[in-house]
Formats: sequence, structure tokens, C-alpha cells
Amino acid sequence: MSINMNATIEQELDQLEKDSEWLHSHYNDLVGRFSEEFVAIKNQHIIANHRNLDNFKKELENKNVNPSGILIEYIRDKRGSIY
Amino acid sequence: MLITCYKNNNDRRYYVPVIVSTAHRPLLSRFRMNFLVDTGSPMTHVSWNDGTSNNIDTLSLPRDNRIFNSVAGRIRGYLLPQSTLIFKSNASAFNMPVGELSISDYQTTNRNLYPILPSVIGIDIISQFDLLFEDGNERMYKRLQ
Repeated sequence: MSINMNATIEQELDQLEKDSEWLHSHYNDLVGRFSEEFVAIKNQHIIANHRNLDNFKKELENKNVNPSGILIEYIRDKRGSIY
Repeated sequence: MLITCYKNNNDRRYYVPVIVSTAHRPLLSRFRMNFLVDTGSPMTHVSWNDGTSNNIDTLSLPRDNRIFNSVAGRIRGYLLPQSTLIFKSNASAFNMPVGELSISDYQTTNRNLYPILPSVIGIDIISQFDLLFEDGNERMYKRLQ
């Protein structure tokens, strides 16, 4: 892997870690606002959301968002769920 | 080398952020995902919903001939060839080549819809680490060889 590639990966991992930490520490708040919806997270903000996966992907397309540069999560209340 | 997993404040389970990289054409791309750290799962796999939402066209992938029993039914999947899991560690990016990464199908073998579930890091990968609990976070610890 080249030095530039390594730097890019490190930046992507930094952003992914921050977004993941934010997601899991704010999950209960997100359940209240986006229950059973797909959400796209970038820089600790929700930048797109939709209940239907096809429509969610269309919304990302319309906003010219590349899925590989964001964190996508399906929000649901998982308390009491066995999976 | 330490990799931090994050405790979800809803289900209190631990998730690890991972970049999935594939050299498989035409995908040849990277995807960001959170994997549930699941010592009860025999194998690591990407859920169909994580695959689809990241524009992974499973129809372009080879089928996985194995059949797995899950809590939601019997399921087959697809294989994402030439895959690498990239973790953020306290040292630097840690690349773990896994070869063929399984992606679950959206329906069970008897054609019921499979539920929307998280992708899972199973014991096949977890067993290569020691698990530590510290400061409310779980950390996967890998001894340098």
C-alpha cells in the first residue's frame, strides 16, 4: 500500500470511528427520531434517512452521496431482541 | 495492538467499526460498516441489508454453497472474493485479509424474507484476538507475532 493510500485509509478510519462512537452513544435518541429507518451518518450528523431501502438509496443518489464514504445504519429498538 | 469496540446504549452489545475492502471487479471498492461482535456466531458475515445499502450487487457475486442455520431460518449467501477487513487500532490501520467474505441472502432457503440484521464478526475472527473490557468499552487485543 502506498503512503498516500495509507493516509487516506487512516483518515477514513478516523471518521468511521468518530461516527460509530457517536452512533452507539446516541442510539436511544435516534430510536426516538428514526425508528425503523435507514440512516446515513457523516461527521456525526444524519444526512439522509428513509424507511424504505430503495427510497433511501435514491435519496443518497439525489444528494450525490457515495455510500462508501458514509456509515449506514438501520435504526430499531433492539432491547429485548434476541438478534 | 488494541482495537476498540463500542457499546451500543440501546442493546448494550458491542460493535466494531470496520472498512471492508474488496479487490473483486467490478466492485473494487471499500465500504464502512459496524459489525456486531458475536462470540456465538461461528462465522463472520455481512448482512444482506448492509450489502444492499452499500450498493454491493450480490447477483454479480458467486454463490456460497454452504447453508447456515440462524435464529431467523436457514440461509445461503454469496461470497465477496478478495476481501480485507481494515480495523483502526491504537497503532495504525490493521489489515486482515479474509479471502472470501460471506454476504447473507435477503431470503431464507424456504423463501421467507430474512430480517434486517447487523453484520457480524464471528468466532472465526474473534478467536484471533483476546478480548478485554476497559472503561466501558470492549477492546480486541492482538498479540504481535
